This record gives sequence, C-alpha cells and structure tokens, in this order.
Amino acid sequence: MSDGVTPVAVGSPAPERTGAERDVTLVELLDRLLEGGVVIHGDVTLAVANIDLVHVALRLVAASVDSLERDASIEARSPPWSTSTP
Amino acid sequence: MVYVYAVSEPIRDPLVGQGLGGAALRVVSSEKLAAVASDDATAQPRICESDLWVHERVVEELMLDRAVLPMRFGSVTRNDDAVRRILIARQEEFIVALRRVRDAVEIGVRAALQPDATKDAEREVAAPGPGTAYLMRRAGTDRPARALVERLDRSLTGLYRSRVQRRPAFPGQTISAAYLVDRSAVDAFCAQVAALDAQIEDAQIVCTGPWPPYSFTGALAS
Repeated sequence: MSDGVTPVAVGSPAPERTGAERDVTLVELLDRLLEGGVVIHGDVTLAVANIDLVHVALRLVAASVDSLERDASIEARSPPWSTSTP
Repeated sequence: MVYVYAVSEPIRDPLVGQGLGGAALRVVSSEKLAAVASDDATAQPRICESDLWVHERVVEELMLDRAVLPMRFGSVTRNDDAVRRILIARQEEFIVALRRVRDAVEIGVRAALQPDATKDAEREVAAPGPGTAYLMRRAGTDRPARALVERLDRSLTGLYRSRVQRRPAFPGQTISAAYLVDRSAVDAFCAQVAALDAQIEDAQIVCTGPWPPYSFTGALAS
C-alpha cells in the first residue's frame, strides 16, 4: 500500500543528524504528540503551553543520553496525568 | 494499565512488535473499530524523548497498512474494557475521522519571515510594543503570518484536503501549519512549497514529515 514516501523528519533521533535538525524534529514531535492526537481523558490537560514546549525540548536535547533517565520527566509544569477510567 | 497508541478499523491479523517498555502490542476490538495497545506498568507515562519515539514509531508502522487515528501521547486506561467502552461510545466520531484521513498523511509547513518583513508589517499594525508583537506572532494573528498562510493555501489549492494552523513552536517562527495531503500528492505538495519558498524572498518555508495525522483526529481539524 505504501507508495514509497520516505519520511523526512521522523524516525529515530539519528546521531548523524545535526543538532539543529534534531532540535527542530523533537519540537515538532512534542507539538504533535502532546497537543495533537485523539484525547481520551477530557479532564486532563496534556498539552504543554508553547513556551513550555520549547523548554521541554531544550531540556531533552541538553540532557545527554546518560542523563535522560534522570532529567526527562516533566514535573511542575503540567497537571498530573489522570489515571481514572473514563 | 493499558497504554493506547492508535484507533483504526478492525485488525484481523495479530500484531508483531513492541511498544513502551518493550511490552507486546495487541489489538482491543469493538464491533467496528480497533485500538492498538500494550500493557503499561506505570499509570503516569513520563515525557522522555525515547518514549515519544516509541509511540511515534508504533503509529507509523500501523499507518503503512491502514488508516489510523494516532492517540495523544500518554493515553492510558485501566484495562481493555475501558478501551472497548471508548471505541463504542465514540464510534461515529472515530469512523468519520478515519474516513477523513484515509490514504493521507500530515505534512508540516513552517515558515519564518525575515526581520525586515516583520518590522514593516508591524508598523502597519499601529506599532505594537515588543511584548504585544511577540504575543501576536505566537497567536498567529499578525498580518504577515495571515498573509503568508493565505498565500500558502492559494498556492497549494488542490494539493491538500485540509489545513490546520498550529501555534508556532519556536519563538521567531512566523507560522506553523499542518496540511492533510493525499499520499499520492505529497511530492507535488512539497515541490510547490519549495517553489513558494524560492519565490518569496523574505520568508524561509520548509516542509516537515510526513507525519501521522495528529492534527486531524477531530479536536483540531478545520
């Protein structure tokens, strides 16, 4: 079914991609995954304000692979995720 | 807990592949729809880069063979029954949305206007202070952004099904738009954007993607 369209900006964050390209792709990914898509918990604001998106991206990119586990969770800026069944 | 990646039409074959935490992907079915999910030990998925990519890759793989509605990252329910209830309760909404995105992908178009162009336009709009100007740019309401989006839409007429204007993700970025484009029209679409980029001296316009249709699942679609 695929017509051979090759993804341009998606895929694993390849190390050979330049830092600038990777930053841009990450922000685009965050923008879509955190503010787009089907929402199944209407009472939870998963969207991060735009200014926070940039900060999130900067934090994720600045963190080395080693420290991703330590730094990656976003805490104070977003409301806690709802775990209740709808 | 059950982590949900996407909604699609019924899936007959068992899924291969893994999702977050290496958990096996599986299908939760209702009569007319399917959700792709995996078991998730945590009720609070962390926003970390690697997990975002896992979610994205699962959706992209599913998209190779079928129309999908990607879930927002972090969509977790208590169990499969909860997933099934959602598929049933929102059946019509999902069926309409799947029809909307079938055989199409999302292409992002980002543009940055050169400072001169922005300054000229700001003078026209009663000289707002720098803070106001920044907010206007962020809201996409300033005239150069509107003019550019209109020009993009005109130039791309016939090459896209739908367009959503997103909030610019970068300070200094003038516009960020998402277009729903037939798979067969992607090359022509991107070529047209490149042509427009060459035509407009004051702007830098790029395409990103193709992406799954995160912007066209219903909440944001125009």
